Amino acid sequence: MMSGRIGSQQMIRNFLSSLDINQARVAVLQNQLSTGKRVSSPGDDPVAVGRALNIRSDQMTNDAWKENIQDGLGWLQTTDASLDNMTKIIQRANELTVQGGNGTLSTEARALLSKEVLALRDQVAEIGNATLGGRFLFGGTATTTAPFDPTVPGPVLPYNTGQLNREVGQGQVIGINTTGDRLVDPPGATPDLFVTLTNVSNALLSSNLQALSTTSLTELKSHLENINSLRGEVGAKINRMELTADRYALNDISRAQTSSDIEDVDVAQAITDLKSRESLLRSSMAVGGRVIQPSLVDFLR
Amino acid sequence: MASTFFGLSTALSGLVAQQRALNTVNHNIANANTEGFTRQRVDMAAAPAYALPAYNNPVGPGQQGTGVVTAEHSRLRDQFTDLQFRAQNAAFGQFEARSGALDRLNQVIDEPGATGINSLLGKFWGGWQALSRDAASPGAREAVRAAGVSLSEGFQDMRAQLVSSQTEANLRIGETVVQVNAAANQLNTLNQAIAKVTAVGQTPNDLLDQRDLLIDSISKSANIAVTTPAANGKVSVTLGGQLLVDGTTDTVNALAVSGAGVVTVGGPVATVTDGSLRGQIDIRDTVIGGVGGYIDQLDTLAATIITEVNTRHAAGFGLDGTTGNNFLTGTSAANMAVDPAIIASINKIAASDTAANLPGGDDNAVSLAQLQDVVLTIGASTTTINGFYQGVISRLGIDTDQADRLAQVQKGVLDSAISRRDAVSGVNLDEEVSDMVRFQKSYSAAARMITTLDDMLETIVNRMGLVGR
Repeated sequence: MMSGRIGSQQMIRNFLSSLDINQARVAVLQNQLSTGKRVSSPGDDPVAVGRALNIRSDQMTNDAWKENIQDGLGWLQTTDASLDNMTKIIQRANELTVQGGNGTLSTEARALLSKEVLALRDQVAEIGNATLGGRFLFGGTATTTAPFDPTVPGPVLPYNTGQLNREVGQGQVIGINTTGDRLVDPPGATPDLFVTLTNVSNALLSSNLQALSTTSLTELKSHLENINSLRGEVGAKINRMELTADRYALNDISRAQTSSDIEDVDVAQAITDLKSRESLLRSSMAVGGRVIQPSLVDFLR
Repeated sequence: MASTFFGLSTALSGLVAQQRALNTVNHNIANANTEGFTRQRVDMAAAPAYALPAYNNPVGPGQQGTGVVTAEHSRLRDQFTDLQFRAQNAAFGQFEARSGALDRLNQVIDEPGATGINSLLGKFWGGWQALSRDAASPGAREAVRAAGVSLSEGFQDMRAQLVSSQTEANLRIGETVVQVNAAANQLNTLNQAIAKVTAVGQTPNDLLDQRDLLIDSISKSANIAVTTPAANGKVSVTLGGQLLVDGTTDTVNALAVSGAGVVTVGGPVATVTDGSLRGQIDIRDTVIGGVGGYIDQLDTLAATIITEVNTRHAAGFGLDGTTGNNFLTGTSAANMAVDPAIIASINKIAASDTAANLPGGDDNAVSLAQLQDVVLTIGASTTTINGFYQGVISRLGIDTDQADRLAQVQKGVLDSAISRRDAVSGVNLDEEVSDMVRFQKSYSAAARMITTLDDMLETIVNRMGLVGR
């Protein structure tokens, strides 16, 4: 820029070009302050925009996982409640069986107990037909039809053993449903719960004390253990999902912080910058006003 | 011995010379703001002295000055500053064109934003997750279909924006070609006008200014070279190594740019490495278009999404028990859309992995949602679908940032080249005004000289020899 001779246009051009630069910087800061965003297009800061997009994707994925977890938890907790009821029913059946096995009881009294056992059997079917949001919990993937009929042992078609799965993290899929067969048919030689209850009821009617005090009690115990083990499984899944949900909630906070650091304008910094740019702009205008105006003509008579 | 009237012609030469100088000052002031104007100066020289040596030269104490002659109206221009300016102008033209086009593209692409493809992809994957939560629900099915439609439209929109930017670059290439050809024709005409003036031994300063201005304007479009003026004052201009204006034959070769980005001047291929033409061609043929350009990358990504989503979708079963259905159709971002069968019935959306698991089976919906984490080979990259898109946007950002910076730097360099040229050629009004005073004073003094001589003549003509009358 330093040269011996300066053209008149050159002075104006120099002035305008520095004025342009200052005005552009002020405009950028004004835009940042009025939008609150430091980056509004990819060219503003390519690295920040890349990270911002990444964080947004992660956030949306995490939101979906969180919803999956919420939905899965609802399902598992309802299942747990149903299993709890089931435990109570089996315990009640156990009590009735012990009571009926008492030799001093009259035949009429046993007939009454037998009726109650049949009522319990109906309740088992009711619990097995529990729904959440109109979907049957224990029907496998056949969520639209009731899986149990109290008069028929075992789940009825179109019942299946399909798993309902929820993705709760990258590659982490948790099956959330307990299928009906596992509910009423424990592993091993023990018959279906409906069959067991029907047998108890029949034994009570026929006062078969031998069967009541041996086979029936063993079978009921085995059913109770089965339900307890199912509850343990469901509880473990609930635990796992809750832990994951907590982790996501923490992630959300740190992600929001990072995202804000990347995208949002630091207001104090921006205002300070704006002020200093403004004063630069003013001084370059003032200099322009002084430098451009006078020429030798003004001083010659 | 000089003549009695000798001094009059000396004074007259002074008057004439100062007047010429004043007129030139006038011309400079009048053109102070004329673009491309070069300040002029009257070069004065002392006239040949009296008397010249000869056999019978008058005897005297020495040679006596005979006044001033104006040797030339010179044009104060430094060819070297022109070379610098034109080289920098070409570089500036290239980056300005590039950054201009990329800036416009930045403004039309809503990233990071709520309607950009990044968000739409997120909603698309989220749609499958929602479907996996309730596979039989018509609401979740509608939502995933709507997310598919939005995503397809997002791809189509972005591609349309890219194509329109590419079309704009193409139009600008056309404009530039027209401008360069028009300037070349004017330059040819000026060459001939300059030759006519030069032939009679004069320097056509103002025509030279016009010609230099034309060359400057061409220099912004491409890398050019100008020959030193021939004896007849004509110059030849080459663009990218090929003759654009031939000063020896007074011919102009037309510049043309093919659809494939090949630049020709009158037939032969020119190597354009600089200038707005290079910038615009790069934008059209390599940055936005061409293999690996933004459009190509977007198409590649769309094709990958279509194939991968369809592969997973076709493996599942719809609520109506059908399998092998595609979710998307199309082959690129231009024609990506949700399959008409899906548009016709949401029951064709395959959430279940087996027919036996209908209606609640959600494994296939989970599998589709998991597609977002699958690392795929997309074009030349190995990354996830989101990762690839983010890469494209980052590249746009980096390209823009880089072009902006280079344009800014180049503007500074160009400004200093202009300053260097102005330092030689620009009109400084203060200088002109002080010259004006200088020449005016000299003019007055020369006029006073004539008055003095007149007085002297009066003395010898009217008052001498009157003794005793």
